[in-house]
Amino acid sequence: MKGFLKYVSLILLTVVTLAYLADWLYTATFEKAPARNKFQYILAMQPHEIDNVFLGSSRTANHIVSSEFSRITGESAVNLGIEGAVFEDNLLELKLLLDRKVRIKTVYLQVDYLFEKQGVSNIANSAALPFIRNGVVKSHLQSKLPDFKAAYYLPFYRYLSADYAIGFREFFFSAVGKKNRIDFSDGFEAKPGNEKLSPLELPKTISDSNATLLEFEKICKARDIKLVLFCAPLCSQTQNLDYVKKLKSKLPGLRDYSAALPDSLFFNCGHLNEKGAYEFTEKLALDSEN
Amino acid sequence: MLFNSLAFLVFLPVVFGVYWLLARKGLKIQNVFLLSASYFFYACWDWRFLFLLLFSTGLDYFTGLKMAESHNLRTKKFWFWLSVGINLGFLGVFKYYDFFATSFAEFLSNFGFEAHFWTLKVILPVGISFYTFHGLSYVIDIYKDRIEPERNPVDYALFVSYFPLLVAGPIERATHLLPQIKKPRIFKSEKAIDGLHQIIWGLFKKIVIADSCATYADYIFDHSDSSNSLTLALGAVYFAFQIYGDFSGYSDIALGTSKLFGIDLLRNFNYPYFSRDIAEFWRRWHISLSSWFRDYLYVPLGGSRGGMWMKIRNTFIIFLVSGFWHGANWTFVFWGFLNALYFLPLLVSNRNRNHLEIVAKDRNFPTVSEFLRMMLTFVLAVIAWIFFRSESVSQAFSYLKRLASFDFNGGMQYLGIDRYSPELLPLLLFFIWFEWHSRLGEHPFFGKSRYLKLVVIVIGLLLWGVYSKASDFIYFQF
Repeated sequence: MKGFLKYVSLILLTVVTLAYLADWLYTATFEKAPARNKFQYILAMQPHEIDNVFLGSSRTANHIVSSEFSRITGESAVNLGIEGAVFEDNLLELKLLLDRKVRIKTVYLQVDYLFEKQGVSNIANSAALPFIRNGVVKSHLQSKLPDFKAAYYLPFYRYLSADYAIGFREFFFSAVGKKNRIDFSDGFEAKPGNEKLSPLELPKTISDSNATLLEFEKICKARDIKLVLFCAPLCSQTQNLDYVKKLKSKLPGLRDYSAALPDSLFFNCGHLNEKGAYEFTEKLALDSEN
Repeated sequence: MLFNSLAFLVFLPVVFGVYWLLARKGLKIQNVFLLSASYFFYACWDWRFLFLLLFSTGLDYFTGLKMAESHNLRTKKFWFWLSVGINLGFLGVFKYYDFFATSFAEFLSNFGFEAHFWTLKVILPVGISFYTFHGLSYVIDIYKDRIEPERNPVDYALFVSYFPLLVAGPIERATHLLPQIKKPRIFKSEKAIDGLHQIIWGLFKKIVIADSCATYADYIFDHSDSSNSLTLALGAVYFAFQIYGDFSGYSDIALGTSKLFGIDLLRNFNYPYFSRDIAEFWRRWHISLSSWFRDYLYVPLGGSRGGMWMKIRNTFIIFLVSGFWHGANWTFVFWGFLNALYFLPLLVSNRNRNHLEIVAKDRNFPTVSEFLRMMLTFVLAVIAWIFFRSESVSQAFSYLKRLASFDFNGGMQYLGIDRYSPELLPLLLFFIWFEWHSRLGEHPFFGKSRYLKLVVIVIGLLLWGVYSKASDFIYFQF
């Protein structure tokens, strides 16, 4: 039995050593490689000024053409919307931007069914994990990630638990310096053509408040940043559209674009196509000038 | 509790430690503990089905004793058919009732009759096909006077419910497993280390090979209507490796785990994708099921006696039944039928027992002819897997039709999109190379370079494993 236990210990030691080595290699690669996602892009930013920052999910990433917005308003803009993101992810982005000493005049935050989502999404659970030792990321995730301790202390755990986003494939692309097809200085990701418009269902009821949104307001107020809440366009077949009215009653300053564009400009019910994105950006830009 | 879960990572060392500590207290206590651990393992899925397992165990134990006590053939037959009937009845109700009810209703609707049968919509108790077959082999062996009934209920229950084999086999025989359960086990380091190696290899097959292939195979099968021929070929090959990695990986973990407890289980896989014809493939794939059907169905039906037509009939019967055993869907039946068709030319020309030894046993490489035969057998197996994987027979035919259309527009579409996995194709080649060099043993960790291979596989498990969604083993559903 002794011999067997010795052998098992040796195997465990090998596994732990390899896990430490792999953790170090992956982390170093993600830290040094050119940005392949918007989190990395923010972390690599130098102190500078941006007039307009757009935050939200894919309904921001696919809807705001920053260059078009700048052309119309004459102000700088960047779209930092991330597919699948919720308020918590956007809040982390804002905290990181401020930590990088980026001066922001206006933050546009997408508010719709995201108002109902609490907690950290898979985005924070993945793209931010290589940077878990960054003070801002650590303090943000500490109380929110259910397996924060394991991700922080167990070597390589974070890369295993989020292998779909920061596993070998992403490590490999980062190591060989493969660039993302998105130009992060703009941040717009176009959706091509039209898919079948299957109805999107908005929540039937609305929550009293959203703690993360309150934190957003608090930070922006403290930093003298103008916070603009907007609801991006939705197709006409969207169910429970009165949810947007309920939102407006809770958030009187909300800019409602839910019915601003015809169905022909949609890729699917919740996302505009490229042409629609240009039209929506124009509307948003013209409204910001008024 | 999955073999590839954290829960099992805790369960196994605890059970292992207590089991060997109890060795001093005697075999009886050790077996009682192992049985309790097995029931706990099973209850982790759904404790309610534990009662079904207990009933099935009790039934076979009791009827086994009754058959042995019978003074005449009539009484013996009664107990035998009672056991067989109830066992198959349970299997029929839980696994096949809904299928027959809906198939019959569909059949009647073709003639303009509208029929609505009750469907049970019950959850399939995990492992039911496996433990039912354990029990059946036991009662058949007693009926045929091959074995004496087991009088110790704990030992018999352990034979049926031993946790490494409980949910997905291998399908054990009383003649092989019961003597091991009844004999005091002595801890042997070499055997335990061998078991540990087999577990690591099984985990690699499941977590790295099967689960990586699954991501892509699932995507391609789900989008088969819009994929071109090359992509569909890739999807079918990925599924072939998925199911092999999944099931043989499970079997390796089961065999390795059992070795830790000093018990050898029947080997279930022996490098089937290196087979030179389909008959050899079936001697190397899910061996415990193939041999079960051979011994308890093919031979009683007359086997190879009674001329060529009898042989052909019996061969088709066992392939069709084997297909149906896998699941209540015509796709499995067709999969079995297709394999029987593949088998037919070998049977007719009496060449079905040509390749009994592993290919290139004393050589490093196969001959050109052997290589081509292996490729052909693999292609035939892959075509049959399309039926196994498809949702319906019509989807399988449409998949094959698109595959055979030689539409190469867009190249390997699937490799061009974001989900392209640069590691998967080289990984499969690496896996084949590893398997080729391991084909004389049960796992690759032997010879001078065993430690180097072990480190490479551990690195592979860390870097290429799929952990974010620990998935079930495919064969649990059967």
